[in-house]
This record gives sequence, structure tokens and C-alpha cells, in this order.
Amino acid sequence: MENFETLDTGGSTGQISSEHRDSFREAGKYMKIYTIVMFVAFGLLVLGLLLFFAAGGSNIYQAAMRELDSQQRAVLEILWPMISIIAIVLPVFMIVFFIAFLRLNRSASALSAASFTGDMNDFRSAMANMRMYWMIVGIGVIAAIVFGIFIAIRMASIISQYQ
Amino acid sequence: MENLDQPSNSFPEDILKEIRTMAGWMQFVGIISIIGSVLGVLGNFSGMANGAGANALLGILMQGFAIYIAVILIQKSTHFRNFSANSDGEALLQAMKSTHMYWMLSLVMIAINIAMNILMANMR
Repeated sequence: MENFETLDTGGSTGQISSEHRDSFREAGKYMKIYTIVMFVAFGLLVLGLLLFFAAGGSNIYQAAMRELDSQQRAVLEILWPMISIIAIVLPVFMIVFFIAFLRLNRSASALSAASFTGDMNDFRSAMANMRMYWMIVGIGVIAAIVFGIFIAIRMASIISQYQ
Repeated sequence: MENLDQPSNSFPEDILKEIRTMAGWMQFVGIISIIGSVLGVLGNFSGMANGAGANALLGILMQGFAIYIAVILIQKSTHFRNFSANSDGEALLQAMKSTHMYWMLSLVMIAINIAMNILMANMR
């Protein structure tokens, strides 16, 4: 407990001052709020996807075809294969990013804990989880770019067929 | 218990290694974000030329904000890298301040996006 007292009175013996601890707390707080917002957004997205799959892709397609005029139907006909692929790939991306946000949430908790306890293990956990978050996001970004290129190529070939 | 409040150069090498790896990924994501946002700005400029008007202007402002956030992310990665290179407490403080700023602005960006979407849905 002596260590806590030393830190709380601002008598830092090394590199970590009370200003550092405040910055840990502030960063942890905003990271936490961000993850909560993201979890809510994920929940809504999952709900949308569940509705899509529950209604059945072909049912949605047929219902949309009935409602649209001929020009819009032509556009939907071109886009539909892409929409189906995205609907299948999107849950995979969502799972990956959900794991990333779980890591960020843990990092935020550990950072806040480090600001109170001054424990190196909390700081270690915060940095390890933050590293995992940025690594997953980085790999996710690479995968999204590859997927985007794939979709663009498929789209170009479909449009050229229609022309 | 290992404590953060220790004499200088006390950060364990495993933590510094984690931070080095993290800084690399952060920088990568930051650079990709800037490229994406610049492409978005160009797209909105072309939209403006084709008469998209206010929507394109709002889009440019949003992409500009996204570029600013990505720049902060890159700054953050630089501070973390400096910290991992020489265990500098000041660099850690700057990194944490950038972290705080980055997540706060990301939240502001989300709020603006939601507000804009609601506004545009009502304008239609």
C-alpha cells in the first residue's frame, strides 16, 4: 500500500507521475465509451443481419422486384449477387472486429486499473490488449481491401456482361 | 508487486516490445485511413462537379475531419515508438494524451455521422 501513497501524493520516484496516471485514466475512460458505442452498433447490425437471414435472401429479392420499376430492377439484378456475397462475408468481419473491440475494452479496463493501482501488470495487460486490437484492425483492413478489390472485379465483369 | 512508480529505465523489455509492434500496426492503420479519406475527398470533389452540392461539401468536411483523426493516430504511434525506444516518460505521457484525443475525436466523429444521417433522412 506504500506505493499507492507515494504516487497519490505526487512523489513519483521514476517516470510515472500523477499526470501520467491522470492520462491513463482519461484515455481508459474514452476507450471504454468508444467500445460501448461500438458494441451497441454491433448489436444493431447483428439485428439487421438476423432479419435479413430470417426473411430469406430470395424472399427479399422477390419482394423488392415487385416494388421496383423496370430501371431499378435492372440495377438490383446487377447488384444482387454482390449483396448476397457481402451478407455472407459481413458476419465474418463482424466476428473479427467484435474480438478486436473486446480486446480494446480489456485494454481500457486495464489502463484504468493501472491509473489506480500503479501495477505494472495492469499496464502490461493494457498494452498487450491494445497491441492485439491494432493488429486485428490492421489485418481486418488488409482483408477488407482484398475483399473490396474482389467485389470491384466481380462487379466490373457483371456490368461488362450486361453491356 | 511490480510497480509503475519505479526508477527510470524500469519498463520491462516485453512491454516495450509489445508497444513497438503496436506502433507499427497503428501507423499502418493511420496511413491507410489517410489514403482512404483523401480518395473520399476526391470522390466528393467529383460529386460537387457533377452537382451534388451541399452533400458533397459535407462529405469533404467529414473526410477532412477523418484525415485529422488519422494524423493524430500517426502522431500517437510516433510517441509510442519514442517511448519504446528509450523508455522516456515524457513520450509515454504524450502518447497517452494522443490516445485520449484520438478516442474522444472518434466518438465526436460517430456523433456527427449519426446527426448527419438523421438530418439527411429528414431532408429527403
